[in-house]
Amino acid sequence: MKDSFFRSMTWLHTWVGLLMCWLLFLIFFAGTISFFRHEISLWNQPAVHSIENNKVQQSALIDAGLEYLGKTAPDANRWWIGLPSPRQPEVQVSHRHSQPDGQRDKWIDERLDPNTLNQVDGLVDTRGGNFFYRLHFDLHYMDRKLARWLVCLASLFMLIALISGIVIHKRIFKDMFQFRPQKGVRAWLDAHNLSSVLALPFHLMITYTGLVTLIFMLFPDPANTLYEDGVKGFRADFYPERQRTEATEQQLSTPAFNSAFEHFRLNWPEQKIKRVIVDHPSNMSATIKIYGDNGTLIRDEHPYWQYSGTTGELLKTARLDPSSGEVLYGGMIAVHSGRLAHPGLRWLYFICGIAGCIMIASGCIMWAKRIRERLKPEQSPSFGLKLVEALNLGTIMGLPLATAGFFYANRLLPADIADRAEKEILAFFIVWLASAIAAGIRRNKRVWQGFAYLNAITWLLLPICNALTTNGNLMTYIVEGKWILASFDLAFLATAAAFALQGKKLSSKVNAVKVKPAQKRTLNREQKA
Amino acid sequence: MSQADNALTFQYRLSVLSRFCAAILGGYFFTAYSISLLSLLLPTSKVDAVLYSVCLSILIYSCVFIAVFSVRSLIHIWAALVVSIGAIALLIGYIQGGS
Repeated sequence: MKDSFFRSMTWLHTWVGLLMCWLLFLIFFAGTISFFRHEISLWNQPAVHSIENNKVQQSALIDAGLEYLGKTAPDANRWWIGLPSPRQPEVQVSHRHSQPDGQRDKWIDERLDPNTLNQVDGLVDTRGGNFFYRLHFDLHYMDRKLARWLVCLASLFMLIALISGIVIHKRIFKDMFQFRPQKGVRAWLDAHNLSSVLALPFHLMITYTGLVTLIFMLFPDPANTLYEDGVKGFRADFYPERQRTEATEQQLSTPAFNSAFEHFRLNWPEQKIKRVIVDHPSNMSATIKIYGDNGTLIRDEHPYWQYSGTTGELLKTARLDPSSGEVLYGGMIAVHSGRLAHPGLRWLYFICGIAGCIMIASGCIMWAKRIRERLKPEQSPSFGLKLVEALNLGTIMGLPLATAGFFYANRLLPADIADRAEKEILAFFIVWLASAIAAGIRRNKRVWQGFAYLNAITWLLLPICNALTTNGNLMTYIVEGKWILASFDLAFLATAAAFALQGKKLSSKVNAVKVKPAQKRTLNREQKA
Repeated sequence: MSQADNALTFQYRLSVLSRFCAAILGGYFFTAYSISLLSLLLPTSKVDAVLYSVCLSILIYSCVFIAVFSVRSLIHIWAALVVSIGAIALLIGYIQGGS
């Protein structure tokens, strides 16, 4: 019985792993990058690079934001003031306008320099890190709902592959310190085990909590059971801040914004603010919504205060004292998104995410290598094997190249080109498609090596491209202490080095040691498909 | 390849497909019903009951998934899934009718 359980888990691990591995690689890859979502948005927007870290008090920034919005967008139906953080130096001042005939409301985003309180000029149209963030659960060029269901299924398969992987991995600690390069499939197996086991708690956590972020789409049933109008009713109960306020006929002549903030500062003097939203700012139904900053707390939703814009009185609060259910649910989402992480922890998140990518990539490569090894000399590879090999090459080597393409597009596209943000994304997909086509034509070791070197050169030139197209470069970033921007250049160089190393490795492997028959037999027994 | 081989692989493929269906769909409905029941039984506020149950859902789902692949007999699996889902659904109906 024990043996058959072991064998069924081995089978399960291989197949659930293989069926979804490319989609999973995309999710892990884009998700890992989006741990630096705000940093990428910063990198993609050279106009805000020169902004010094904010030293102005939050209250002065909010006043300046309200004043600016009052002047530029008095007829907006919503104002949004996002306050600077160590990850985002500028003040975000956005306003939303109703559109005629039932079209979706239109947002206009602007930024203020927190130190001078002037509007930042020369912003380019870019999605920044939000592209990768959306890509990792909405995919792209695809119906959002279908994409999310696919991502859920892939994540479930990932979780099953992890659990069955633990079961079949009997000697979990012994293997942890075992790495045998130059031994063909053995080396891939070791790489797979190493990247899985070292970051196993992370992989389990991120997969489980990732499913929890989409849980109300996946399992609306408890909400449907307890609430008459299902998830809608639950949301009304759980998110009181999301209730809409409707505009009235009357115009607001003397807003009471100041007295609202005075009341807030008097009663919660220590509370840092994340953002301020004003609904219908020039209407009698004007509402001020204040969202507290969670800092490094393991919480997802922000503490919330709602004031009347006409009288300045406190209308309601939410989440000042979260319930235990909210602590559990919000905590899971918070550890998934990693918004709570300071730079050190953020890099740990990133490295664990990379380990996840390596785990998935080495798993797919190993599968194809095994099948190919078992082919007899006169047998030609099946279509399935060719497809797996092409997808492996196109995804594993193509995605990093496409990401570099996205960064190049951000720097090289003309600033005033129409739909610039979409064109950056198009560049990403064109590079990826080209890689996939190349992988479809040929995928021997030479092509892998070519891709590795191509990646190395592309990533190596990225800091140079950045230096030529912006006012800064690695040296000035270090001298001026702009560590976020400096880390980008260093990370680009490290990526280039890793790919160069991989390329070199692939050329030396041509005369690598063949796996001995005896070894091969134990190998097959251990991880037999 | 002989005819018998073909038949065998076809039957084998069908059983694999059936097992995946049992794991994915059966596991899904088992989880959906059991967390609905859980949310009814939890003595907390409505919001908390919903949040606790959905947070546990993935744990239940993956356990069922693994169980489906570790039991040999397909008939046992389907029977167990249908009976347990039916029983939970009845229990939910009973609780909701009673309250």
